[in-house]
Amino acid sequence: MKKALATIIFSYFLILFQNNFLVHFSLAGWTINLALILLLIFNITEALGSERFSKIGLVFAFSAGFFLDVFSSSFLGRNVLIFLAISLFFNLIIKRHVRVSISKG
Amino acid sequence: MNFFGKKYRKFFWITLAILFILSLNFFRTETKSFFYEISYPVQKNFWEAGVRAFSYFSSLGQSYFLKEENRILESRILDLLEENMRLKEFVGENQALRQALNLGLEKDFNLKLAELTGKASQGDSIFINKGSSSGLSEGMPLLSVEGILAGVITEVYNDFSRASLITNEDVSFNARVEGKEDIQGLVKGKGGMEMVFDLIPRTSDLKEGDMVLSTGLEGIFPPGIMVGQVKEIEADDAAPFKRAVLEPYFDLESLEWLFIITGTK
Repeated sequence: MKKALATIIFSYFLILFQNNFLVHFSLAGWTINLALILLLIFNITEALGSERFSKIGLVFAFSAGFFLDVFSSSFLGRNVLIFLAISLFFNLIIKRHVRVSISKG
Repeated sequence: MNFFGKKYRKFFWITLAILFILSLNFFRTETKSFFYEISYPVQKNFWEAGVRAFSYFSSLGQSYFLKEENRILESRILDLLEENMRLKEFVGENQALRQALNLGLEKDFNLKLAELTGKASQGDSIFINKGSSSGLSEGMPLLSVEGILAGVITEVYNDFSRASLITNEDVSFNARVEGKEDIQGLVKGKGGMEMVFDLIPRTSDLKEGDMVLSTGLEGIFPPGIMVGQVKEIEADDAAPFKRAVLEPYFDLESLEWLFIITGTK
C-alpha cells in the first residue's frame, strides 16, 4: 500500500516535471515522454523479476495516465487506458514468452 | 468461471478504477481545476527552472555555433558591401543621365555614358570604362555630366579608352568668347590642369571672367560647348596677339561620369 501511494505521488510530480520542465527542451516539436519510458522500465523489470503481474507497473500506469489526462486537454481516462494497455501488454508478453534464469553461485 | 476469484480480482479493480476515472468526466472542469489549483506552486517552480535551464543550455549551444555564425555574417557583410557599391554606381549613373536630360544634350548629340576609372600618371589624361566594344573611337569628344568640354579620346581599347583632357599639351582647338562673337582664338593645353587662350586679336575687348566656348572649326569638338573662364590676360604691346590664361570649367576631382559624343543628330 505504501509502495502504491509513493508511486502515485511520484507519478504526480513526474507529470508536473514533464509538462513544465521538459517541455522547454522539445526537439522539432517533440518532447521526451518520461512517463512512458518509466512505465516500460517499471513493467519490464518487475515482470522479469516476479511470477505475478507488475503491481507497481499497473499503479504507475494508472496514476501517470490519470495525471497526464488532468494536465492535458484530453478527456479523463484516455491516457489511463493507453498506459494500462501498454502495461498489460508488456506483462503478458514477458510472462508468456520471456524466461530469465538467474544462476546463484 | 469465478469472477471474484484471485485471478480475476485484479482485473475487476482495474475495470472499476477505469470506470471511476471515466465517470469523472462528468465533473471534468471541477476535477481539473482542483488539480490545477493545488499544483500551481509546483508547476510554477518547474516552469521557471525549465526556463532558466533552457536559457543556460541554449547559451552554451550558441557559443558553440558562434564562430560559424560569425563567419557566415562576415561573408554576408561582404556580399552586402559589394551590392551597395553596385547600387551606388547605379545611383551615380542615374544622376548623370538625369542631368544630361535636363541639359538637353541628348537632343543634339548621340551620347554614351562612361565612368572615369583613373588618371594617367603623367600628362592630363584619363581612363574611361568604355571602349571599341561600346562603339567608341579615337577623336570622340568627352563632356562632363554638366555639359562642359572635358577632353577627347586618344586611344581606344576593347573595353576601355584613354582620353586627353583639354588641358593636355597635345590638345588645341578653336574657341570664342561668349557674347562677343568677334573674339576668337586658339585654346591650347599647357599640362598640369592649365590651358591658355591664344591668338586673340590685339584689339579685342577681352576681359577677365569672360566665358569661352568651342566653335567646332577644327572639326573635333561640337560648337557652343563651355570650355573655361578667362582668368588672366597677358597683353604684350610688342606681340601681335593677346593671350589669356583659362581656368577649365570641369573639376577633375568631381569628375566621375562622362558623356562621349558618338555623333550629332
